[in-house]
Amino acid sequence: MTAQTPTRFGYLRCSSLEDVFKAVADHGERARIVAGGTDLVVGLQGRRLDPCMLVDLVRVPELHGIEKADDCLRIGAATTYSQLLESDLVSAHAPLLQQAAVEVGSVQIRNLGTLGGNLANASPAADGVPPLVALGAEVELVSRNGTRRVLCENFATGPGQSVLEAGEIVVAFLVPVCHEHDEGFFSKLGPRDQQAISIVSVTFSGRRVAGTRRYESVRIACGSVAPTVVRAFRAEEALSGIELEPETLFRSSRAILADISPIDDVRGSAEYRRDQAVGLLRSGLEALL
Amino acid sequence: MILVSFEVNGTAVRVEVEPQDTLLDVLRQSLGLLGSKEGCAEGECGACTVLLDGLPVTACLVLAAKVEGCSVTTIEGVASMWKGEEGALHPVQEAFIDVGAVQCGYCIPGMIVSAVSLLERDPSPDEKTLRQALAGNFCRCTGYNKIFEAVRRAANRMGGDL
Repeated sequence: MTAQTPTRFGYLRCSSLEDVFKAVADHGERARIVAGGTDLVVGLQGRRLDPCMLVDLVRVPELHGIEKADDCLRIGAATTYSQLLESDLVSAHAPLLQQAAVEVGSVQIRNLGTLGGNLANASPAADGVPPLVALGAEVELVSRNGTRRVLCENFATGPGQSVLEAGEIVVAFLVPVCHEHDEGFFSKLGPRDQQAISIVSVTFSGRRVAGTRRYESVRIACGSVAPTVVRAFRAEEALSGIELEPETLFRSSRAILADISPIDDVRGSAEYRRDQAVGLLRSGLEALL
Repeated sequence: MILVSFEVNGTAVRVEVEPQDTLLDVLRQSLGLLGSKEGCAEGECGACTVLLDGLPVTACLVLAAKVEGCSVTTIEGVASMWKGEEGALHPVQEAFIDVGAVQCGYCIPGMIVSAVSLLERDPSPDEKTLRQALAGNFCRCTGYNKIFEAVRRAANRMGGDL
């Protein structure tokens, strides 16, 4: 071995959390976590990624499985979108996750991509994340020092940036199970139905007051309109606790404009995104009512 | 280099791969299976679709090192998934020929692997299911109608009633 040995890629297949912690500790900033690989391998293919140690955690048992515990569904971070779609527990207790999962990528991508990877990459355009935010889900982050839980809406801090600390792994999601009067939608605008990155997405979750057009506990999450997936607090306020009438829905939905800060990019202009965010919210609510 | 053992079209293989190599690189370059095509190399077009443990995936997005112990089926292995005569094509392949669903042909291996996988799971899919199953396979000759017709015909021949 000489000093001229080029830095090369390495690959470690981990079968336990301890393996992952060790790999990350040993390789520090060179370590790159791989789950489904649908984002990371694109970077490798384009040779945009510097040589690194690929730490594959998809075979770690704690990252798998969907189970119901008390008032939560516990969903392993390495659960693929296809597994979410096939889960009876998810369709019974968190159907909103399936509404979004079916719009992610294509069958081929849904068989690889994981919910944990979607959150961890902290893309503002992630389609798996807004339903987690709208449902008030928490994510469990585990390191050698212990376990902490963070609300999914507080996870990302900017594009590709998050609260994840060195040596910390996204292990599972805790999604509150839905109530019988809970309703919601995931609505995405893309250039086509499948295989498209969102131009705007709006996700709504609320508890319908039986026999009325009123919602309580409204939570709205938006994708591709801010540096992270964001809650739309103003819109939530404007749409909570009042009878939603078709005539006033457009005006109420415009409250979302105070919650979002879209930019112009290759997928759409800021102005288009603002108009479409209002439109998606209104048409989604119209369909529910 | 990493030594990876897996199964391709029913045959056990052992290959040396680089950490950043994809399954598609290994199939085409190390194993000489040239049926799976590289189109976009970023999981958009579906020309490299193979079955990984029975599920369709884009081989360009799968690190080769990940497939240790897995079973892979490529377009070359599709015919033997169907219990036909020795050397006979899969009914989906035959239907593509009969209907004339192939124009330039580049997308067809991926298209057929996706269609075979669909019909294994759902022998008589409705139109929406059919379109959704093939939504990750792009045909830039835009010959989709004939392709859908071929899959419907294959479903019929295989005993479904699409």
